[in-house]
Amino acid sequence: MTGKSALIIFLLFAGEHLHSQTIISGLVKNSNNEPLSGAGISLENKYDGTTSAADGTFSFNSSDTGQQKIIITILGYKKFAVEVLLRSKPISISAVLKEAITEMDGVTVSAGSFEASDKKRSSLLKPLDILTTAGQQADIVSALKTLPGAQQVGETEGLFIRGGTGNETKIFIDGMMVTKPFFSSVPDIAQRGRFSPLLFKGTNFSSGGYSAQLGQGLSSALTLETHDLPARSETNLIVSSPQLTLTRQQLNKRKNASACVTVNYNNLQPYFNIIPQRVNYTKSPEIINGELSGRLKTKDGMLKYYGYLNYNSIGFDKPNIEGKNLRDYFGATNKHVFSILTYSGNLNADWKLNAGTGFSYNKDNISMHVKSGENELGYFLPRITNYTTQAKIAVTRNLPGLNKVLLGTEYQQVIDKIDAKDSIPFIVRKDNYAAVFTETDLYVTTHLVARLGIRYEYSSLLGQGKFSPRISMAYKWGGGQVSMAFGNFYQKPDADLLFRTPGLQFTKATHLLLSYQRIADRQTVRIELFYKKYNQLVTFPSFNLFKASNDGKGYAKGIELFWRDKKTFKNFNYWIAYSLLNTRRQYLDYPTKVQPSFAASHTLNIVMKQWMEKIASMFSITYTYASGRPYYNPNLPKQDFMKDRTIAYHNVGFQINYLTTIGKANAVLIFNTNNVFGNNQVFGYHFSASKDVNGLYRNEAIIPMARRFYFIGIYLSIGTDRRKEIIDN
Amino acid sequence: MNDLQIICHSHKTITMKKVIIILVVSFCLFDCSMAQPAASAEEKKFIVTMETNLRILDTASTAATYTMLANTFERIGNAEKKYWQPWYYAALCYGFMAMNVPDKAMIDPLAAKAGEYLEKASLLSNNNSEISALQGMIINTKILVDPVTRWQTSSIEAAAFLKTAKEQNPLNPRPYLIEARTKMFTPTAMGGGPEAAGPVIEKALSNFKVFKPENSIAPGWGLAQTKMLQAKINRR
Repeated sequence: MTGKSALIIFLLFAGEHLHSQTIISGLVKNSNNEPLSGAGISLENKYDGTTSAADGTFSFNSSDTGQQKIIITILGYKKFAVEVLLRSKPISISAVLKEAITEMDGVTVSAGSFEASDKKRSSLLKPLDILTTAGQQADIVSALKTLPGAQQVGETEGLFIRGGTGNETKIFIDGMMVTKPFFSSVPDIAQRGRFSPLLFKGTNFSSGGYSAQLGQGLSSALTLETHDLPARSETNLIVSSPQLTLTRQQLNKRKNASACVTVNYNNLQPYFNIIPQRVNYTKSPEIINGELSGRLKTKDGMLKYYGYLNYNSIGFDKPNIEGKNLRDYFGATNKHVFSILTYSGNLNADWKLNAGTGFSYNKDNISMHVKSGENELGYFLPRITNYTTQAKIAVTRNLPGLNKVLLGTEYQQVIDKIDAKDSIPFIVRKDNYAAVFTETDLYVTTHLVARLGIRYEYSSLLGQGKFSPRISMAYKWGGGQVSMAFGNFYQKPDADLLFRTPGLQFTKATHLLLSYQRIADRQTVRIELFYKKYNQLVTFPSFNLFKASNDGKGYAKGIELFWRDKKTFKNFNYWIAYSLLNTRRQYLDYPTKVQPSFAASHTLNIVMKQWMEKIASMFSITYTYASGRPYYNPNLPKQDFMKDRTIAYHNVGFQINYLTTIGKANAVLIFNTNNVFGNNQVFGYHFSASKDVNGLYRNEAIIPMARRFYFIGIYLSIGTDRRKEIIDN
Repeated sequence: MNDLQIICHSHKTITMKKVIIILVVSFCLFDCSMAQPAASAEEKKFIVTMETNLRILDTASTAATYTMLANTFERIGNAEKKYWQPWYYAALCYGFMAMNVPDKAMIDPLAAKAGEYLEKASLLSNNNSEISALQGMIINTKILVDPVTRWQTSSIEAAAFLKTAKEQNPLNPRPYLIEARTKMFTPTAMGGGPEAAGPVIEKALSNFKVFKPENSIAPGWGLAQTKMLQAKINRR
């Protein structure tokens, strides 16, 4: 082939183009007037087109004629389309592409909430952050304690948020309320959450101002979302110092349904044999539980079932605080059933349905004895039962953009029973609780979103109904966003108070939050101010629970800072969370409004994670500080109620996650310990009922059961590749 | 032919001489395919345009070039509707970008775009070894965002795609190349390292010796990368 023939080809093509050539040129910019390079410009369904240059400009020729559509696309922006008429006259286009507001990176309702999700860019944590945070033994709630707003309460389970008690935080799984999210209380030992973090793909922790869809939490809502269909069938095995768990996950051939069975056995006896505990265990904590879950993907949605069955027991004894060679014996067994069936899906292009039903059963058999040698001096043997049946349904109408309106209702029947041999007659409290709620997300502009909601809830036991407005707004400002939230929140008094005084009313909290948040380039900063007012808290005179009333009140205010940085150092990320809390409340038997025993004024968390690729390990260190908490010292004059403070709390946790393979299985080896430096940790004090020889009430510090808790475990994951079977069929 | 002109403007490494050579070569193919009665004028235009862009892809290394190529392949895919190859190459461009992007936060959006293109390719061609291999490559790339979180399940998922790719076409060298590259950059403890990658890269190389792409626009990339990777493994 010679140069001549090449020339002929050129002329051939050129000749073709001579007929009618339209030059289409222009500029691609975003709404901030910044040029966009790399945008694809095309004539619809034609070869003709080009890519915008570094300065956003483009130019190309087309030999097509007539009415045509020009389409401009680029990652992260909405498609731009314009009709043009091609007739050999140059066309100039100035395209302003709008950022695609997806839930991934648009303005979002964020006041008060922390999200752990793999999907959303706005989430501040990843689900596995919960597993890899040092010192927390893979417990969801413990990991959330490293976020702003949470108190470091080590003697009672629960999330104590912004001057609220642990009971003021409600936990939801797939939108359904969890009645007993923690193992039943044991004196002075905080219990773990029942549910493994491995169950959930998303965690949303709200420390205030949350949605009208959620009720019965005065302070906080933790919503957990279970996994959708797994990518494959697999077997997981967890072997750890206290635990043996086997999970089999089966995905069908059509990949539209799965079933999962888990059996779990926990026993701390071997561990306690090696690491001595401060109390004498007569029955080491033992847990047997089974879980069953199923997923069915329908044409337009997903049906999920989750069932949980548990039996656990514990027994220990320790010296009685009154001395005189007395011993306290504590024993408890717990039976628990939790079951939910939920559906989430589209009814048609505009309507979405979320519905669920659930049932739970909880039975605690508690035995408390005071003995002198073999002589029984006193006992208390309560049997507490709870049955909760619930149903919830909500429909969402999608409006143009991301706007939507939601309308929903829920119903709960809650039956609580208690009886105790020789002391409490059989008492039953039955409540029919119903709520209706509506909420709308309005994108006023692409920079301003408002979520307006209202909730009405009625309790037959209290004979009372309440309206609560909830407002949340976010405005995109510079590279960040400013959010505010306001709302009223009502909660039924705790069951143990309702047993004694059935005539109580809803307790009430009002939240007001203002926050600034900026998530950019793997760095997150967040500052939040809050004010919370409590009304109608339950209070009663000392030692007279039967005279309870709703005369208590209080407030909490403060500022919280959060900084997360995944950028500055390679493979190293850390976050710092600081909370300043000023709170006073009069509730229970508090004679006046004081800082409650569970609230520290200052809390600081520094969480650091270093990934070492060479040795396939992640090292994590968490430092937690909390200033001293108030406690009641009966040796002080009456006006000094709750004036004493415990020593400050320091805790350094350490964790290694080592990734390896064992045979065909992928494995993660975990070693975790809290309180590396062995600091003294005091959560409060008990005082004796009678004075000693010096005329003082004897005290006893409430401290952890051991100086440190060690955890060693291995997580094995064995996949089954069914793809060959699919192909063969 | 507008494609070609624009590409020449923005891609300075291609001289006028090269353009002429490309045109000449295209013309030859044009000529050859003329002999086949089934080949229509549209088909020829498709093949010539694909070949031209595939040549650029062979030497591409910057994100700008990959973006430009992906845009071009997307236009071809939209215009033609029935071929899987344009979508496959658009996905491949985004796959390479995801693999090389310095900001790890960009990996997911790039990989997601690659996934979208690949979805379109697989709708037009099922049981395709090249598509399965690329799926495996994209999942492996996503592991880099957060190995601690993603490795345990995603690496098995990716391996399943590569296994399928090998079964669909045992002579395809690319699943072996992708596997070897992942193994090479996976710590030894996690089942990786040069020792684990060595036999796999040899297998990729031996496949390259016998593998013949079906036609001029079928995937044939990877020999240079395989040789580079082999050199790297042998140096250890």
